[in-house]
Amino acid sequence: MFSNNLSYEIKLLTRNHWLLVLLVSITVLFAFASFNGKKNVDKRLNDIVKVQGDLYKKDSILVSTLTKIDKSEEVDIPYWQLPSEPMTIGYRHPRLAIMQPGNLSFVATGQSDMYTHFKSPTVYGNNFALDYSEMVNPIQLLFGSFDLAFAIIYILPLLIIAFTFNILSKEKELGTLRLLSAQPISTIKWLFQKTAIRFLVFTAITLLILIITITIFSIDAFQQTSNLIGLLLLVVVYNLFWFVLAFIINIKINNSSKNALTLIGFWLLIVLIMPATINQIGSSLYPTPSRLKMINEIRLIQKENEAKQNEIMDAYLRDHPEMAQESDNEKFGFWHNYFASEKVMEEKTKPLLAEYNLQLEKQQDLIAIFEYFSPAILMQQSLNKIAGTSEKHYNDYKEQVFTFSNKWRNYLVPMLFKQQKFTTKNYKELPEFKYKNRVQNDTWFGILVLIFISTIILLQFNGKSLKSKSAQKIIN
Amino acid sequence: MKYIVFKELKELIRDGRFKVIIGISLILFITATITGINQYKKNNQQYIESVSKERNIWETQEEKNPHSAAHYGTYAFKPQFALSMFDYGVVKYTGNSIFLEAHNRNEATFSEASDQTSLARFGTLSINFVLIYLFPLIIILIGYNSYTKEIEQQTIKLLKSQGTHPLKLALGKWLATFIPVFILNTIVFFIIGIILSNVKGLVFFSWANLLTLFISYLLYYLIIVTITILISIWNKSSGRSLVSSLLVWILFSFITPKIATNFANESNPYPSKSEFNANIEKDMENGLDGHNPWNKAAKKLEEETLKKYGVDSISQLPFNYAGYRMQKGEEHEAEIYEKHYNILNNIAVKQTNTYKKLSFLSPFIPVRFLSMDIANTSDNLHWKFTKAAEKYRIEKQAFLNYDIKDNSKFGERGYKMSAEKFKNLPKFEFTPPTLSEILKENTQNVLFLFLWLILSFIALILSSKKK
Repeated sequence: MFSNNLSYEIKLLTRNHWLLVLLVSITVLFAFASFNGKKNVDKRLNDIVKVQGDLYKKDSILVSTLTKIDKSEEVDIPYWQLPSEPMTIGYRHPRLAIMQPGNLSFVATGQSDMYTHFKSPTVYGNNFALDYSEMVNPIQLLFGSFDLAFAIIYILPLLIIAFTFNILSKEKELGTLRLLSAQPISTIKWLFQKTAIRFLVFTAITLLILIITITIFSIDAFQQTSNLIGLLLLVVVYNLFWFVLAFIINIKINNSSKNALTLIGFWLLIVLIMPATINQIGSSLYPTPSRLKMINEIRLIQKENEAKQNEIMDAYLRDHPEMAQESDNEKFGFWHNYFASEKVMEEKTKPLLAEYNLQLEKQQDLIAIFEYFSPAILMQQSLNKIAGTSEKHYNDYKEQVFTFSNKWRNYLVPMLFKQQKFTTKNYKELPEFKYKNRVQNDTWFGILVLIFISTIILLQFNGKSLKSKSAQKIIN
Repeated sequence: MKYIVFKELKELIRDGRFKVIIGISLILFITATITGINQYKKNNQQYIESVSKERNIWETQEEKNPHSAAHYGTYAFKPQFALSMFDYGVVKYTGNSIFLEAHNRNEATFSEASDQTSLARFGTLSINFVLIYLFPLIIILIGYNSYTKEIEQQTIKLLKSQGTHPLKLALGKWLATFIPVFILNTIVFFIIGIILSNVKGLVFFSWANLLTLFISYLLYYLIIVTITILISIWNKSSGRSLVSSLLVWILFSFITPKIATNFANESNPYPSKSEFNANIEKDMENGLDGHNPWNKAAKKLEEETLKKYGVDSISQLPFNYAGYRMQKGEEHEAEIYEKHYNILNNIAVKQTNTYKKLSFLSPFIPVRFLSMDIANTSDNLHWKFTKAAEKYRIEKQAFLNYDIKDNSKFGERGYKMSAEKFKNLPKFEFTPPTLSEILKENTQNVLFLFLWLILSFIALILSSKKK
């Protein structure tokens, strides 16, 4: 019976052009979305290449000056900019800490439009909390970008709804349902098979087009097998969720326009209303700790420390440390005091910042629980993780930059105190930053949760109503 | 026509679905209002506290060199405007504090969104969210079958045989769809008005702004009503009519704004922060015109000043030249900053224009911009705030540098400004633009809304006759 159903269904889908419609619309959708995503990644890469180019230029001048100094030749540079001083290198020639995009970054813009992807931590003068936000028009952040994640999360369900809302009700409205019930297969089983076939066809088309788009836009993605499989599976289970929903609504309501209305209602609830409500209620219940308050507190500490720092050193030089390099002797004393005074501030603010970050982390974790209330949020988070653009990735990047900034300081400051000069040899062994994606890949968990939700929905109705619902009821 | 309106409304009241969706919308509205007010109160409290604390920190400084005080700096905080609880706009994405210090023009830092998870990017349930996303859906639900049901119930022939004028029929249906949402909108704004007049400590609240918001949303609803009825006329079955209306809604409120974002970003990309800073640094080194760096200009300034006072060395000037030069240097740097921020502002304006141009695809875009602007939560307002903060920074610098100029001697080391004097620095005040200024800046948006309404209405009149 299944094979009959299958061949009939395929014939039907080809003849009423559904296959063609799906093929064309999904291709257009995915191609446009991937194109946009790719553009965003390209801009990111472009910006990176620009800063790398600038650094390269600056470095080549640096190296030639250093070589001159090594050979004790004259250089035309003011004393406080001499690159042979480790502090000049530390402040004026910082290294770049770059966060390169991943192969699948084009899939989801995520938080990548908000944050910078390169930082140059200097040996001193880093603000109490480095700001990682990127220059961006806030309107763009408000509206968001038309990326693959948007296409998958928002638009695919609409196509599924259009593809499934009247599977059963159409038979009823055409009057063929009675004929169907006379066949040696239970109507529910028939509907289940039919929905399953449509699910398979739909998913096959989506996956096929998805793989083709990935091949065109980012062939390297195939090296990241686990992420790629994660992405494909996510799409499969997300489709599954909507098909299960459509299947249940088909049985429960069984009237074409009411089916459509209900399904769209669910769509609205899941992709629009629930996320917005959860977001608002979540941030009301667990507000992010106030940055204004943090600023106030840090300023108070700064004020208290001022006197202490003044004891340690001259106020003018504290504001303009680069000027303090006239004589080696003066310099030694100066820098010693400078770092002592920075340290005073750093140690005082450290607990405050740590507390702030802890509070923030707690808040983010609490909010994260709400993810499971809507498959749309779950999908967005999972896709961001696959793309390497989730907030976790950026938090981790900040941490890596912080570690690097310590490494940078620890390389140069000892040189200062040992009164060593910076030479071309040192240039070659300067510490370098390499971004590592250390965020745990928990896409599998998201996939399991989606499967779980779909099964619960299916069983819930299969257990109770489906069996008791006789064919007679459906027909009438 | 009266009968048509009454009949439609009666049918609507009896429809269970209508009750459900109204109920859901009202619950969401109440949730949005309560959380919105709480957040507003909390943020405003925090704002007031921060301003007074920061001022206190500034005023209670010990005596110190004015330039040290300039480096010590102070903060400019953005006020929490009353209507920000109505429409959050881009507030979440722009910081609301700017550090004002010597030599540097800083950006507003710590946007709320950068501290939040990506959940925040789904949008936030605010009063404006209910009005701009959900109310159009109510309209669609009321109006999608206004014509198709007559066909499906085969009452269309009956109507025609009774000699109902097609235009009157269309207007009746149109009015019957509009009245419920008009009532809803009025109730919502009435409630907001009552609540707002009872909240204490509102900043810059104006009834005129609220009323203008009310009218703007009505205008948007009129457009949606007309389009919904049009779609119902053009379609033969209710199902198709519903699906088409919903598609239009999705196109208006989701797809077009997102596509506009991609277009805007593609045609006028923002520079990265480091590129922006590098450009400023370059100008600082080479001077504004590329060949007149500050140290050259400073020399010229010195010559001019000496000439003006008829003396031949700066030590003979009646004031401390160091303070004067420092202020001129600050102003010179500020000019460079201004140049680059103006370039950036131009890009932002061009991007906004891209959005506005796409308004012909979606009336959602003009109403979204209009609403943000009137509620003082727009990008536009943020620019005004940063400019005001920068102006204040220069004034603050002048206040400090001229203290050096007037009260210390040339070459005097260790001059200190007395602690008392710090209190004389004027406070930072920021007033948002008036309603007429806002409307003037939004002429194009208002125009687009009217254009949408007029064109769709003409189409309605024309189509109704063919029916």
